[in-house]
Amino acid sequence: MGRHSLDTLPRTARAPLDALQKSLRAILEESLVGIIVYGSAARGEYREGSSDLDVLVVLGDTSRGTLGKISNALALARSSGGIEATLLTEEEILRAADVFPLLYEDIQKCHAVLFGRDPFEGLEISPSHRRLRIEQELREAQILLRRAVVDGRGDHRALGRIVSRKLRQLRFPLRALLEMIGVECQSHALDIVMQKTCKKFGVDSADLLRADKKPEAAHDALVLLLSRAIEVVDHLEEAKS
Amino acid sequence: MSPSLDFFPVDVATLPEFVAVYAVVGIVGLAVGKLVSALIAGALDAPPVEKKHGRPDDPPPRFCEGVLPRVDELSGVAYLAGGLDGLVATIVAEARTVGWLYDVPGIAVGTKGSFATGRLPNDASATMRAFASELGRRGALSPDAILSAARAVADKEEPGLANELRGAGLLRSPSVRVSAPLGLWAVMTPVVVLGILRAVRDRSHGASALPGIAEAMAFVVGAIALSRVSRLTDRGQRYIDWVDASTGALKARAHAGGSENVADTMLVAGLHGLSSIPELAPFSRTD
Repeated sequence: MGRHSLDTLPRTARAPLDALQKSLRAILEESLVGIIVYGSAARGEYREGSSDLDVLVVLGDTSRGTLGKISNALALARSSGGIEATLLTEEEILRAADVFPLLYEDIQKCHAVLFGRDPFEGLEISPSHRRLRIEQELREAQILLRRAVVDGRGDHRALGRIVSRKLRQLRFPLRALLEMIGVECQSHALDIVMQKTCKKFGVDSADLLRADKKPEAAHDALVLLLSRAIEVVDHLEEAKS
Repeated sequence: MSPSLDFFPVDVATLPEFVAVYAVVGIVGLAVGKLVSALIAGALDAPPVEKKHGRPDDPPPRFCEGVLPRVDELSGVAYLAGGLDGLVATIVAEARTVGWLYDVPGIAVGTKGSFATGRLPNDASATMRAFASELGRRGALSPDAILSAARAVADKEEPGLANELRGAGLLRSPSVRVSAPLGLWAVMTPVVVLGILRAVRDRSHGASALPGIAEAMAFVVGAIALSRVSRLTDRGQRYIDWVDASTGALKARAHAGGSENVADTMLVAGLHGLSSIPELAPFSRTD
């Protein structure tokens, strides 16, 4: 199991987490099942000023009234401490592992329980659900990238921003794909994941990672990377069957 | 003339002793005067209009410390923090982040015609509609033209906004800002008169009038500098300080160019100006 401590987290990052925990416990009382920290903070890769604090709040009740009560506490945690909260119920964690396998696996591998129960203990994630999700995310990125280029109306800088954003979003499915095909990638850092992915799929990572300087070259590299990665993930199913 | 000026404290000992004592009196006078002025401003500030208590699940009152500003409060926060410039910043930030005010490809950013407007979203706010209408009258768009259009919209919005903020007890009325410095001048006028009288006395005794006059003038300049009364009430200042302290992560993210959230960008631009967001840099020269 991937339970970690938050001991390495700087005090400036720990303080908003503690404040959020205090607020949520006071507001929700028994309806709060747990608070789990995952992502860079749990992996010990948190970088002050640039990393978000990813938090999963497990609720016993997700009625509009309950969500309304905690909305200010979550908004303040986000604005003051960069805490990005995902709200789930315990049942959703158990029942939705088929549609959120990458997120759940990322949390399961490395997380810290700030308060309450650990709903990821013993959770099973199917490799076929993982493969489907990777393919879905890559194909969706391919479609949305086309649309964004059309909507960008030839804007050079906008293209750079679109490619950079897509790269950040694709980091997780691409890293999961590397793992599925047996390429080791310990780091979650964007540049390392992309370099390893590019190397595997024969794409120039220097072009891909310079979206701000050479947006067109980065776009073309991303399109190539996506098509090759999709081909591989698609054939994983055939190979299996 | 001189006999009538030989009275305390005008006739205090020698000139060097007077200069030293007068300096102390003047500095204490400025401090006391500023305090009196602040007390007067605090006493004259209108208390916030009390709203009747609603149901327990009613939304909290507007501009409430402890509650992050909602979208419909962002203009008010910007106006409190930066006056008309703050308001202009939120208008430009909204138009840019929503995406209907965009860069024209192939034209150097910042030059005439380097920006264009797309179709306004169907749910665009009244402010955005007014801004679009102002921009439509300006032909080829440069940062200056965009800022002047935003200022025209801000000018129209200001009276209503200022009224609401005064009603909430956050913004001082012009009459309080004029009346409060009178407390400072009530203290400093006798101090200045004392210096002038001493100068006249010294001159009539054949000594230099310069030290007394110079010190008196220095205190006049000091009093003018301290006469400025904040636009915000104490409550308004506390509220803005709280909003600022509660949005550190938003500011860092916007500064790093990583925020695409319209409300976040508007809030940061309104609080810290357009120059705090790289994406809005072309507009910050006159910010």
